[in-house]
Amino acid sequence: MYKLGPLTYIIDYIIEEVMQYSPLQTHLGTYRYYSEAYLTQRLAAKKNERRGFVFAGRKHGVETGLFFFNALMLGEISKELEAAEGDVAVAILFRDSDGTNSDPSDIWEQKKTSIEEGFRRAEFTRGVPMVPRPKSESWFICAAKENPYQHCADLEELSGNDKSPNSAKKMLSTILEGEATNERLLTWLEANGMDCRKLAEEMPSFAKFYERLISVLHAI
Amino acid sequence: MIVGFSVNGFKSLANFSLDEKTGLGNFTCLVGLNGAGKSSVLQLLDFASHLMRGDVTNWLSKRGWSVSDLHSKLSNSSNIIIGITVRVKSGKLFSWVGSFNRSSLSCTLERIFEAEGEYIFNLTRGRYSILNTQPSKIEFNYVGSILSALKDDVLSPEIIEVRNAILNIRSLELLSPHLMRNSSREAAIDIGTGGEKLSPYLYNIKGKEREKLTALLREFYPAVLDFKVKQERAGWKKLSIIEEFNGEIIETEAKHVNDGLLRILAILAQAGSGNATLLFDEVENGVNPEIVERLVHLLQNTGQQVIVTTHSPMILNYLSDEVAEKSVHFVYRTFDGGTRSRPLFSIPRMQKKLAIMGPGEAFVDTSLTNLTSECAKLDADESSNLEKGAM
Repeated sequence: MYKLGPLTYIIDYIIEEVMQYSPLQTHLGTYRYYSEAYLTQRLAAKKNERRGFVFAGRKHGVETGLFFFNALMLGEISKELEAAEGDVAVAILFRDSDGTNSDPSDIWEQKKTSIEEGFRRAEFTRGVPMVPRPKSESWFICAAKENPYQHCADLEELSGNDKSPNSAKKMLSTILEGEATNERLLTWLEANGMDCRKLAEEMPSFAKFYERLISVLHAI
Repeated sequence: MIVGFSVNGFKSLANFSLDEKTGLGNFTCLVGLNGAGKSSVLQLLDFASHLMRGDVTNWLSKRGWSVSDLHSKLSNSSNIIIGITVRVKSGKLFSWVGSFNRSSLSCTLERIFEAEGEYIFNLTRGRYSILNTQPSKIEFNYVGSILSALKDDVLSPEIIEVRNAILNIRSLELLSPHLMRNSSREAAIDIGTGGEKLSPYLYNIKGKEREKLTALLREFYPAVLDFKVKQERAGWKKLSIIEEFNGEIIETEAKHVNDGLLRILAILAQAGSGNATLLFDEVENGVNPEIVERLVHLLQNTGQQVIVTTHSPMILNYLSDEVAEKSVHFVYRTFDGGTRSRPLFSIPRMQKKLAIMGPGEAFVDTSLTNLTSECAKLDADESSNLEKGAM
């Protein structure tokens, strides 16, 4: 069992909003976590069996191949899970979109699209990209700052590079009055909760995730 | 086999080297942006070969170049200095170094030596010596390397082997179906840089070798039964291809044969025999995707050394990971404009991609422009580290 992080709490809030119950409180085993290392290991093992090529092109942009393939693998794993447990799975692939300076300006859009295409290639229909811009810290800043859930769109332009003076991570640490660790965020979430609907109104990158997850949950 | 080469002052190759350690092997594949210097690498090797043949003047005029075109605008030295290391039959490594003077069109300094050993050939200040003989004054004119003008009986076996390895570099970097379609009356020991001597070269292939060649061609193009080279008046040799469609035999003159088939025939003919180092530029040109896998297999199994450039992710994708790691080189320009290369999959983030993608997939997933700045930065860091270490 993995240690639940703050993002799982956010996912749980959204599920509760739609399904009227919290899997986190009722049945923890609902959540399965697959690390990037695990996805890579599975992909590497399967690489030589794979026929045909997957080339960058209109469906996934240059430098987004890792996202595409991770979504492809997560999609396949989800289908295996569904078959093994005779149940319905929803797959959420989380990746930061902090690019380097030389990345194209629409790198966030490209990464999200690549994840969608990866799920599609796996023929898995309940895949949800969770791609904050630039990092999940910016979502938490919006909820935790003074005047929360207001004027947050600019936060998507913060630097994703933790070393940068105006990095999202530093800003969040200042707001939380201490380093923004998972523990600190969880404590904050337990005390304050998260108004996902309001956050979605403020932050386009969160809105994309929120709306997609809601529609997938409704379709179950 | 050539196991390494380095050059100073040839076109964009201000200071360039590639060797066994950095991955020059039986099969080497150069990738990179347009203008990075991939073709210059092939041209340099071709140039070295023509130094050994002593026909630099002819080589320049065939390319429509003047000797000043060879000079690197990035280099201060006026001579072009080339070093080539060759593994001879005994397994020993010998290096040839030549300094080409652009006004005399000849190498005014040449040396052949075993690593850290004594010179087995030495030309300096107008005198040359072979093994331990007394230096002789040069009392004759030569173009390119002086070895092109010296008879075999005065040279030692190792010197001959080194010279021949360089002489046997065959550049097919201008391979052009348009030239292959022409009839020719020249005698041919190769198909020519552009394939212009394909018909006379094929004319000389007889017996078992010819059967092998047509069988191979059929693997690529199953409809092909045979090729024919007809000798016409005054020794003109004309190529045609014989194919079978639906039981009917059709002979097509080369001028109507498709580009891909001619290119494959040229590659097969040149790769089929000999002990050379073959150079192909943009080897995928004109070839339909279905036969790329065969082509890649062929290039790796010619029994000769092969160096290619490619832009084709398909070519790369048919390489095994092990081969890709060793033999695919990323050619790029540094901040000061000089051409450099690095094994593409030695770059950490490329390694990460290769773990889950095919080599071609990883290649097209990468912005080569960004990779160029990353590599240029690595070079700058490495050289500043070196300087620090030296201090």
